[in-house]
Amino acid sequence: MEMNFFAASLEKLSAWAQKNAIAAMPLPLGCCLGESGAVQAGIPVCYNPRQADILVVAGAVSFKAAPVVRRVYDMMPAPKAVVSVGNCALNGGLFADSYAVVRLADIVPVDCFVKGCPPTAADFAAALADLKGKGR
Amino acid sequence: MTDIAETSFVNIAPEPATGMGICRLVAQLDGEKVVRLDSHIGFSHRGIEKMLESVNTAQALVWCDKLCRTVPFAGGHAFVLAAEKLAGVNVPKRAKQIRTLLSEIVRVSALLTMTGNLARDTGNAAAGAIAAQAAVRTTALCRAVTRYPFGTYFRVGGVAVDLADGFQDRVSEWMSEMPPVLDELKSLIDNGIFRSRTKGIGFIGADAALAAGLTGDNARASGLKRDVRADEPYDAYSDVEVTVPVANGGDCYARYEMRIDGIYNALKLIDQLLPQFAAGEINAFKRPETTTLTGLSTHFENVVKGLLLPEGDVYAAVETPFGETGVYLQGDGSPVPYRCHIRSAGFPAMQALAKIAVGADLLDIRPIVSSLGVLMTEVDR
Repeated sequence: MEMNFFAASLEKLSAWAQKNAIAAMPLPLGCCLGESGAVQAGIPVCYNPRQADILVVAGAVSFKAAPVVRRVYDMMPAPKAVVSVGNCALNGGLFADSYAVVRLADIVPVDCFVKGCPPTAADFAAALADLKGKGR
Repeated sequence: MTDIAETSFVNIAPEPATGMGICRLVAQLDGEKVVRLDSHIGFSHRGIEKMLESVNTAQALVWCDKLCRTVPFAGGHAFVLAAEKLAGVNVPKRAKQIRTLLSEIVRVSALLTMTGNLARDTGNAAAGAIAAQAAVRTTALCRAVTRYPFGTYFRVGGVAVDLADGFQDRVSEWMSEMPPVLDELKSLIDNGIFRSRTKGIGFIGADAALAAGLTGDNARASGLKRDVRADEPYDAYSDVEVTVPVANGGDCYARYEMRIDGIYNALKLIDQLLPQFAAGEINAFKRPETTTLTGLSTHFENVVKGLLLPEGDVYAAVETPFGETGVYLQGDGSPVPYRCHIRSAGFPAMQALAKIAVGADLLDIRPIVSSLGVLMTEVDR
């Protein structure tokens, strides 16, 4: 049967589109790689917060970087998600005692933590796929 | 100076060039020409030096290797050299050779990445992908021969574990793979478009480069014959012949040429080094063969407390792919350094950027930053 039309509610349609066209904005602050995992998970990388759906913060967040991370997050359109990559972004990791480092979760709401020092690209890709599956 | 009312400001952030990390550049523009460029650094500052002043030398290596992700040995290598110099440790020959070998292998990987990033920033994504693949293979080789996670392999007094059996064959096999990859890379990158985007762009002369404190490939591209490996040989570099190539262009293209030459030089050094490998210890601090209580307790104290650093101060530098990375250590008789300072190679390059970028087009900023080969985690420490 040939169908050259389909019916859907606008909300469901936009949700479907958003779920299947995700762009990730990497912020590689520390030594974990931000981009490779996103590429492996089939998510395109985008350096414009206005067009990004996922913020990927990799590595230790310094005091100087914290307002920047918040500002980038605020600039992103909803619905949006934050992925924290590496132990340093999670709880300071190796740099927990450092005077210069804050936890990412204190600055922006984090949806997904990827642990490891550094996490493997596979771990990261799995986390992103998981996030995608949630339809966030 | 152009009137400020006629100029406009443009922010270039978060990553002014591919793979360099977070940094903010503020360009003051007169039309499309940059009349002033301010770099705001420090977004990746994690306070590594102060962390090192609170732990002993054995623990410190974990932080040293986090200095830069692509060259984990860079910070660690300078740190172990400084600690050994201060404490007067006699490092076994094999350990020195292993460190030299790994430094060179990692240099190839880092220079490939830098070249690939420059290719990407001049609009050549295919060459970037090929360089990245070759760099990944090189990193895998490091893991295979050290049987250790990438990084955290160097120790004060030597290395952590011996190299895997048959490492020479593996390294030779990898070496035979490299020339075709390099030929392909050069044929893809070095074309008219690339030259038009790099030649004569981002010029810095020899005097200015010296005054700015540029080291490594950036200094050599401006005609300064500087290489720590040749000038003050450390580890096994005194046993091999280090050639120092020099270019006089001082522009982005000269820096690209120096990086490619650097890869060939590293391969030559590995070729010289492989047949020289000596048998023997891999660490100056081996487990005591005696099982007497005093012998074991001395070893236990050494391990738990760490190496005692006598009073005095030293500076030790290594030639990393970024340039001269050095560590200044001051000891006060305890195992914890009293003062530690890391001289990062990229920091002067970021400062020199203000001079280099003036007069360039806004579109040229990306290749210029990329050609300097800086990594913000290394700059900010």
